[in-house]
Amino acid sequence: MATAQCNEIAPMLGAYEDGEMGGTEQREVARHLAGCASCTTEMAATSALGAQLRATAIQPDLTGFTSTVLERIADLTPPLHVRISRYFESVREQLSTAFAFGAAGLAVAALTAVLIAPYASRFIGHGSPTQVAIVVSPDAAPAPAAVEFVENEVSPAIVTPAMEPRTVIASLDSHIPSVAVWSAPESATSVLWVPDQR
Amino acid sequence: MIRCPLSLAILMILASASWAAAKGRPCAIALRVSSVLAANTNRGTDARLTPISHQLESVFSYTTYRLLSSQQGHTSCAGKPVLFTLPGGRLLHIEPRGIEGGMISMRLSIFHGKTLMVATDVKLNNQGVLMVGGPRYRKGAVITAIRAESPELAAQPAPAALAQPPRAAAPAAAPALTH
Repeated sequence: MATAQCNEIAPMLGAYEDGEMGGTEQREVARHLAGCASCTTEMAATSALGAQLRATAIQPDLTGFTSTVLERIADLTPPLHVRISRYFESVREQLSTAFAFGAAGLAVAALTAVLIAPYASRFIGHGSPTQVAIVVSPDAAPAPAAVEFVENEVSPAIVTPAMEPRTVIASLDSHIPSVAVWSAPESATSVLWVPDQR
Repeated sequence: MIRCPLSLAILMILASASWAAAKGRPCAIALRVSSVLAANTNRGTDARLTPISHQLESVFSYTTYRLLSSQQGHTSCAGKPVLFTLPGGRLLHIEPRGIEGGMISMRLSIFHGKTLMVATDVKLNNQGVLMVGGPRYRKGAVITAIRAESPELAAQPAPAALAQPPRAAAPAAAPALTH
Protein backbone atom coordinates (compact mmCIF):
# COMPACT_ATOMS: atom_id res chain seq x y z
CA MET A 1 0.00 0.00 0.00
CA ALA A 2 1.33 3.38 -1.00
CA THR A 3 2.00 5.84 1.77
CA ALA A 4 2.76 9.49 1.94
CA GLN A 5 6.43 8.60 2.11
CA CYS A 6 6.00 6.58 -1.12
CA ASN A 7 5.01 9.82 -2.91
CA GLU A 8 8.36 11.27 -1.91
CA ILE A 9 10.32 8.16 -2.82
CA ALA A 10 8.73 7.54 -6.22
CA PRO A 11 10.34 10.47 -8.05
CA MET A 12 13.73 9.30 -6.88
CA LEU A 13 13.42 5.72 -8.09
CA GLY A 14 14.75 6.50 -11.56
CA ALA A 15 17.84 8.19 -10.16
CA TYR A 16 18.27 5.35 -7.69
CA GLU A 17 18.09 2.83 -10.53
CA ASP A 18 20.73 4.74 -12.45
CA GLY A 19 23.01 5.09 -9.37
CA GLU A 20 22.93 8.85 -9.56
CA MET A 21 21.96 9.53 -5.95
CA GLY A 22 24.07 10.66 -3.08
CA GLY A 23 24.90 8.44 -0.13
CA THR A 24 22.25 9.67 2.33
CA GLU A 25 19.41 9.72 -0.17
CA GLN A 26 20.48 6.41 -1.62
CA ARG A 27 20.36 4.80 1.80
CA GLU A 28 16.96 6.37 2.53
CA VAL A 29 15.50 5.02 -0.71
CA ALA A 30 17.03 1.60 -0.13
CA ARG A 31 15.62 1.48 3.43
CA HIS A 32 12.20 2.43 2.10
CA LEU A 33 12.29 -0.13 -0.69
CA ALA A 34 13.14 -2.86 1.81
CA GLY A 35 9.86 -2.29 3.60
CA CYS A 36 7.57 -1.14 0.79
CA ALA A 37 6.28 -3.66 -1.71
CA SER A 38 4.56 -0.99 -3.75
CA CYS A 39 7.68 0.97 -4.35
CA THR A 40 9.62 -2.23 -5.00
CA THR A 41 7.14 -3.08 -7.70
CA GLU A 42 7.37 0.42 -9.08
CA MET A 43 11.14 0.12 -9.01
CA ALA A 44 11.02 -3.14 -10.94
CA ALA A 45 8.72 -1.60 -13.52
CA THR A 46 11.03 1.34 -13.92
CA SER A 47 14.04 -0.94 -14.34
CA ALA A 48 12.21 -3.03 -16.93
CA LEU A 49 11.20 0.08 -18.87
CA GLY A 50 14.77 1.34 -18.87
CA ALA A 51 16.07 -1.96 -20.08
CA GLN A 52 13.53 -2.01 -22.87
CA LEU A 53 14.38 1.50 -23.96
CA ARG A 54 18.10 0.75 -24.04
CA ALA A 55 17.44 -2.38 -26.02
CA THR A 56 15.42 -0.60 -28.65
CA ALA A 57 17.62 2.51 -28.92
CA ILE A 58 20.01 2.63 -31.90
CA GLN A 59 23.57 3.44 -30.90
CA PRO A 60 25.24 5.52 -33.65
CA ASP A 61 28.69 4.48 -34.82
CA LEU A 62 31.10 7.15 -33.54
CA THR A 63 34.20 5.69 -35.17
CA GLY A 64 36.20 8.54 -36.75
CA PHE A 65 33.75 11.14 -35.54
CA THR A 66 36.39 13.32 -33.87
CA SER A 67 38.80 13.31 -36.78
CA THR A 68 36.03 14.06 -39.25
CA VAL A 69 34.94 17.07 -37.26
CA LEU A 70 38.47 18.41 -37.01
CA GLU A 71 38.99 18.02 -40.75
CA ARG A 72 35.85 19.91 -41.53
CA ILE A 73 36.90 22.68 -39.16
CA ALA A 74 40.25 22.91 -40.85
CA ASP A 75 38.61 23.16 -44.26
CA LEU A 76 36.60 26.14 -43.21
CA THR A 77 38.04 29.40 -44.68
CA PRO A 78 38.36 32.08 -42.01
CA PRO A 79 37.26 35.61 -42.80
CA LEU A 80 39.59 37.89 -44.75
CA HIS A 81 40.51 40.14 -41.85
CA VAL A 82 41.41 37.12 -39.77
CA ARG A 83 43.66 35.78 -42.53
CA ILE A 84 45.36 39.15 -42.98
CA SER A 85 46.00 39.55 -39.29
CA ARG A 86 47.34 36.01 -39.07
CA TYR A 87 49.66 36.63 -42.03
CA PHE A 88 51.13 39.78 -40.55
CA GLU A 89 51.49 38.10 -37.21
CA SER A 90 53.53 35.28 -38.72
CA VAL A 91 55.65 37.71 -40.77
CA ARG A 92 56.35 39.84 -37.72
CA GLU A 93 57.44 36.85 -35.72
CA GLN A 94 59.74 35.61 -38.48
CA LEU A 95 61.23 39.06 -39.10
CA SER A 96 61.81 39.64 -35.42
CA THR A 97 63.71 36.40 -35.08
CA ALA A 98 65.73 36.92 -38.27
CA PHE A 99 66.47 40.53 -37.46
CA ALA A 100 67.58 39.72 -33.95
CA PHE A 101 70.01 37.08 -35.17
CA GLY A 102 71.19 39.26 -38.07
CA ALA A 103 71.77 42.30 -35.91
CA ALA A 104 73.62 40.26 -33.35
CA GLY A 105 75.82 38.73 -36.06
CA LEU A 106 76.59 42.09 -37.63
CA ALA A 107 77.39 43.61 -34.29
CA VAL A 108 79.77 40.81 -33.45
CA ALA A 109 81.41 40.99 -36.88
CA ALA A 110 81.80 44.75 -36.71
CA LEU A 111 83.22 44.62 -33.22
CA THR A 112 85.64 41.92 -34.27
CA ALA A 113 86.75 43.89 -37.32
CA VAL A 114 87.12 47.19 -35.49
CA LEU A 115 88.70 45.98 -32.31
CA ILE A 116 90.76 42.98 -33.31
CA ALA A 117 91.88 43.40 -36.92
CA PRO A 118 94.06 46.50 -36.43
CA TYR A 119 96.08 44.63 -33.85
CA ALA A 120 96.23 41.31 -35.68
CA SER A 121 99.25 42.30 -37.69
CA ARG A 122 101.19 42.81 -34.45
CA PHE A 123 100.81 39.14 -33.70
CA ILE A 124 101.12 37.75 -37.21
CA GLY A 125 104.45 37.97 -38.89
CA HIS A 126 105.94 40.79 -36.86
CA GLY A 127 107.09 39.13 -33.71
CA SER A 128 109.28 40.94 -31.26
CA PRO A 129 112.25 42.68 -32.73
CA THR A 130 115.67 41.32 -32.01
CA GLN A 131 117.92 43.91 -30.46
CA VAL A 132 121.14 42.75 -32.07
CA ALA A 133 122.91 43.34 -35.31
CA ILE A 134 123.76 40.18 -37.16
CA VAL A 135 126.36 39.59 -39.78
CA VAL A 136 126.44 36.59 -42.02
CA SER A 137 129.91 35.47 -43.05
CA PRO A 138 131.53 38.74 -42.06
CA ASP A 139 134.87 38.09 -43.63
CA ALA A 140 134.11 40.16 -46.71
CA ALA A 141 132.31 43.02 -45.05
CA PRO A 142 133.87 46.21 -43.74
CA ALA A 143 133.48 45.74 -40.04
CA PRO A 144 132.12 48.75 -38.18
CA ALA A 145 132.49 49.25 -34.46
CA ALA A 146 129.07 48.07 -33.33
CA VAL A 147 128.93 44.76 -35.06
CA GLU A 148 128.14 41.51 -33.39
CA PHE A 149 129.11 38.50 -35.40
CA VAL A 150 126.92 35.48 -35.55
CA GLU A 151 128.14 32.80 -37.86
CA ASN A 152 126.10 30.21 -39.68
CA GLU A 153 122.92 32.22 -39.49
CA VAL A 154 120.47 31.80 -42.33
CA SER A 155 117.87 34.44 -43.11
CA PRO A 156 118.08 36.16 -39.73
CA ALA A 157 115.57 38.72 -38.53
CA ILE A 158 117.45 41.92 -37.89
CA VAL A 159 116.25 45.04 -36.17
CA THR A 160 118.32 48.04 -35.53
CA PRO A 161 119.08 48.50 -31.84
CA ALA A 162 116.78 51.33 -30.93
CA MET A 163 113.75 51.66 -28.76
CA GLU A 164 111.70 52.24 -31.89
CA PRO A 165 112.68 50.00 -34.78
CA ARG A 166 113.87 52.01 -37.75
CA THR A 167 114.56 49.15 -40.10
CA VAL A 168 113.38 45.59 -39.98
CA ILE A 169 114.84 43.01 -42.31
CA ALA A 170 112.36 40.21 -42.15
CA SER A 171 114.07 37.85 -44.56
CA LEU A 172 117.22 37.70 -46.61
CA ASP A 173 117.93 35.29 -49.41
CA SER A 174 121.16 35.19 -51.33
CA HIS A 175 123.45 32.62 -52.84
CA ILE A 176 126.43 34.85 -52.10
CA PRO A 177 128.02 33.56 -48.88
CA SER A 178 129.55 36.89 -47.87
CA VAL A 179 126.39 38.95 -47.76
CA ALA A 180 126.33 40.84 -44.48
CA VAL A 181 123.95 42.94 -42.47
CA TRP A 182 124.71 45.25 -39.59
CA SER A 183 123.44 48.39 -37.96
CA ALA A 184 124.73 51.40 -36.12
CA PRO A 185 123.15 51.90 -32.70
CA GLU A 186 123.65 55.66 -32.61
CA SER A 187 121.90 56.36 -35.89
CA ALA A 188 119.73 53.27 -36.06
CA THR A 189 120.90 52.75 -39.60
CA SER A 190 121.07 49.31 -41.11
CA VAL A 191 123.45 48.25 -43.82
CA LEU A 192 123.07 45.43 -46.25
CA TRP A 193 126.47 44.63 -47.64
CA VAL A 194 126.41 42.87 -50.99
CA PRO A 195 129.98 42.29 -52.16
CA ASP A 196 131.02 41.34 -55.61
CA GLN A 197 130.49 37.84 -56.81
CA ARG A 198 133.69 35.85 -56.93
CA MET B 1 62.62 47.13 -28.42
CA ILE B 2 63.81 46.68 -31.98
CA ARG B 3 65.00 50.26 -32.38
CA CYS B 4 67.96 49.92 -30.02
CA PRO B 5 69.50 46.84 -31.70
CA LEU B 6 68.76 48.38 -35.09
CA SER B 7 70.61 51.59 -34.26
CA LEU B 8 73.47 49.65 -32.75
CA ALA B 9 73.75 47.45 -35.82
CA ILE B 10 73.72 50.46 -38.16
CA LEU B 11 76.42 52.16 -36.14
CA MET B 12 78.53 49.03 -36.16
CA ILE B 13 78.14 48.63 -39.90
CA LEU B 14 79.06 52.26 -40.55
CA ALA B 15 82.07 52.03 -38.28
CA SER B 16 83.36 48.86 -39.88
CA ALA B 17 82.72 50.27 -43.37
CA SER B 18 84.65 53.45 -42.62
CA TRP B 19 87.46 51.44 -41.09
CA ALA B 20 87.60 49.15 -44.10
CA ALA B 21 87.59 52.14 -46.43
CA ALA B 22 90.44 53.76 -44.53
CA LYS B 23 92.29 50.47 -44.45
CA GLY B 24 91.93 49.89 -48.17
CA ARG B 25 92.77 53.42 -49.22
CA PRO B 26 95.73 53.44 -51.59
CA CYS B 27 98.80 55.21 -50.30
CA ALA B 28 101.70 56.72 -52.19
CA ILE B 29 105.32 55.84 -51.62
CA ALA B 30 108.18 58.03 -52.74
CA LEU B 31 111.53 56.31 -53.16
CA ARG B 32 114.88 58.00 -53.41
CA VAL B 33 117.95 55.98 -54.29
CA SER B 34 121.26 57.75 -53.84
CA SER B 35 124.47 56.12 -54.96
CA VAL B 36 127.54 57.24 -53.07
CA LEU B 37 131.17 56.57 -53.76
CA ALA B 38 132.97 56.06 -50.47
CA ALA B 39 136.73 56.02 -50.27
CA ASN B 40 139.63 56.87 -47.99
CA THR B 41 140.95 59.88 -49.83
CA ASN B 42 140.35 62.46 -47.09
CA ARG B 43 138.09 64.70 -49.18
CA GLY B 44 135.20 64.86 -46.77
CA THR B 45 131.52 64.46 -47.43
CA ASP B 46 129.72 65.82 -50.44
CA ALA B 47 127.41 68.67 -49.41
CA ARG B 48 124.55 67.05 -51.27
CA LEU B 49 124.80 64.15 -48.87
CA THR B 50 124.13 66.25 -45.79
CA PRO B 51 120.74 64.61 -45.07
CA ILE B 52 122.36 61.21 -44.77
CA SER B 53 125.89 62.12 -43.81
CA HIS B 54 125.39 61.19 -40.18
CA GLN B 55 124.09 57.78 -41.13
CA LEU B 56 126.92 57.21 -43.56
CA GLU B 57 129.55 58.16 -41.04
CA SER B 58 127.94 56.15 -38.27
CA VAL B 59 128.12 52.87 -40.12
CA PHE B 60 131.21 53.39 -42.29
CA SER B 61 134.63 54.82 -41.57
CA TYR B 62 135.56 56.16 -44.94
CA THR B 63 136.99 59.66 -45.23
CA THR B 64 135.35 60.62 -48.50
CA TYR B 65 131.71 60.37 -49.55
CA ARG B 66 130.75 61.64 -52.97
CA LEU B 67 127.30 61.49 -54.54
CA LEU B 68 127.34 59.61 -57.81
CA SER B 69 123.68 59.65 -58.73
CA SER B 70 120.30 60.26 -57.20
CA GLN B 71 117.15 58.75 -58.58
CA GLN B 72 113.55 59.06 -57.55
CA GLY B 73 110.63 56.74 -58.04
CA HIS B 74 106.99 56.97 -57.13
CA THR B 75 104.64 54.08 -56.60
CA SER B 76 101.85 53.08 -54.29
CA CYS B 77 101.51 50.66 -51.44
CA ALA B 78 101.40 47.20 -52.92
CA GLY B 79 101.74 48.95 -56.25
CA LYS B 80 103.98 48.50 -59.23
CA PRO B 81 107.63 47.72 -58.62
CA VAL B 82 110.23 50.35 -59.38
CA LEU B 83 113.57 49.61 -61.02
CA PHE B 84 116.72 51.63 -60.36
CA THR B 85 120.10 51.30 -62.00
CA LEU B 86 123.10 51.23 -59.69
CA PRO B 87 126.75 51.79 -60.43
CA GLY B 88 128.71 48.66 -61.24
CA GLY B 89 126.07 47.17 -63.49
CA ARG B 90 123.64 46.41 -60.70
CA LEU B 91 119.88 46.77 -60.78
CA LEU B 92 117.75 47.51 -57.75
CA HIS B 93 114.19 46.24 -57.91
CA ILE B 94 111.86 47.60 -55.22
CA GLU B 95 108.43 46.13 -54.82
CA PRO B 96 106.21 47.89 -52.24
CA ARG B 97 104.22 45.57 -50.01
CA GLY B 98 102.17 48.14 -48.12
CA ILE B 99 102.14 49.79 -44.72
CA GLU B 100 102.56 47.44 -41.78
CA GLY B 101 102.66 48.66 -38.22
CA GLY B 102 103.42 52.21 -39.29
CA MET B 103 106.36 51.06 -41.40
CA ILE B 104 106.78 50.88 -45.14
CA SER B 105 107.15 47.27 -46.16
CA MET B 106 108.85 46.38 -49.42
CA ARG B 107 110.84 43.67 -51.08
CA LEU B 108 114.25 44.57 -52.43
CA SER B 109 115.96 42.53 -55.11
CA ILE B 110 119.44 43.33 -56.33
CA PHE B 111 120.50 41.96 -59.67
CA HIS B 112 123.82 41.92 -61.40
CA GLY B 113 122.79 41.66 -64.98
CA LYS B 114 120.26 38.87 -64.99
CA THR B 115 121.60 37.23 -61.87
CA LEU B 116 119.74 37.75 -58.63
CA MET B 117 122.26 38.57 -55.93
CA VAL B 118 120.06 39.33 -52.94
CA ALA B 119 116.34 39.37 -52.22
CA THR B 120 115.18 40.72 -48.90
CA ASP B 121 111.96 41.81 -47.22
CA VAL B 122 112.48 45.12 -45.47
CA LYS B 123 110.36 47.44 -43.38
CA LEU B 124 111.41 51.05 -43.02
CA ASN B 125 110.06 53.83 -40.91
CA ASN B 126 108.67 56.73 -42.83
CA GLN B 127 111.65 58.62 -44.24
CA GLY B 128 113.81 55.75 -43.11
CA VAL B 129 117.02 54.85 -44.91
CA LEU B 130 118.59 51.50 -45.65
CA MET B 131 122.17 51.40 -46.83
CA VAL B 132 123.23 48.85 -49.39
CA GLY B 133 126.98 48.41 -49.64
CA GLY B 134 128.90 47.16 -52.60
CA PRO B 135 130.46 46.65 -54.97
CA ARG B 136 133.94 47.67 -53.97
CA TYR B 137 135.46 50.30 -56.20
CA ARG B 138 139.17 51.06 -56.21
CA LYS B 139 140.03 52.20 -52.65
CA GLY B 140 136.47 52.30 -51.55
CA ALA B 141 133.03 51.05 -52.33
CA VAL B 142 129.75 52.11 -53.79
CA ILE B 143 127.09 52.67 -51.15
CA THR B 144 123.45 52.99 -52.06
CA ALA B 145 121.08 54.77 -49.70
CA ILE B 146 117.45 53.77 -50.15
CA ARG B 147 114.98 56.19 -48.62
CA ALA B 148 111.24 55.55 -48.50
CA GLU B 149 108.56 58.04 -47.61
CA SER B 150 104.80 57.84 -47.52
CA PRO B 151 102.60 60.96 -47.13
CA GLU B 152 100.08 58.82 -45.27
CA LEU B 153 102.65 58.35 -42.54
CA ALA B 154 103.87 61.93 -42.64
CA ALA B 155 101.60 62.90 -39.76
CA GLN B 156 103.72 60.78 -37.51
CA PRO B 157 106.85 62.50 -36.19
CA ALA B 158 110.01 61.67 -38.02
CA PRO B 159 112.60 59.67 -36.14
CA ALA B 160 114.68 62.00 -34.02
CA ALA B 161 117.95 60.58 -35.23
CA LEU B 162 117.06 61.44 -38.82
CA ALA B 163 115.47 64.80 -38.14
CA GLN B 164 118.33 66.07 -36.00
CA PRO B 165 121.24 63.70 -36.19
CA PRO B 166 123.66 63.79 -33.31
CA ARG B 167 127.19 64.43 -34.38
CA ALA B 168 128.78 61.47 -32.73
CA ALA B 169 132.21 60.59 -33.93
CA ALA B 170 132.65 57.41 -35.84
CA PRO B 171 134.11 54.62 -33.76
CA ALA B 172 137.86 54.75 -33.89
CA ALA B 173 138.07 51.01 -33.98
CA ALA B 174 136.09 50.77 -37.15
CA PRO B 175 138.40 49.60 -39.86
CA ALA B 176 138.40 51.41 -43.14
CA LEU B 177 138.06 49.76 -46.48
CA THR B 178 141.42 49.80 -48.09
CA HIS B 179 140.89 47.45 -50.95
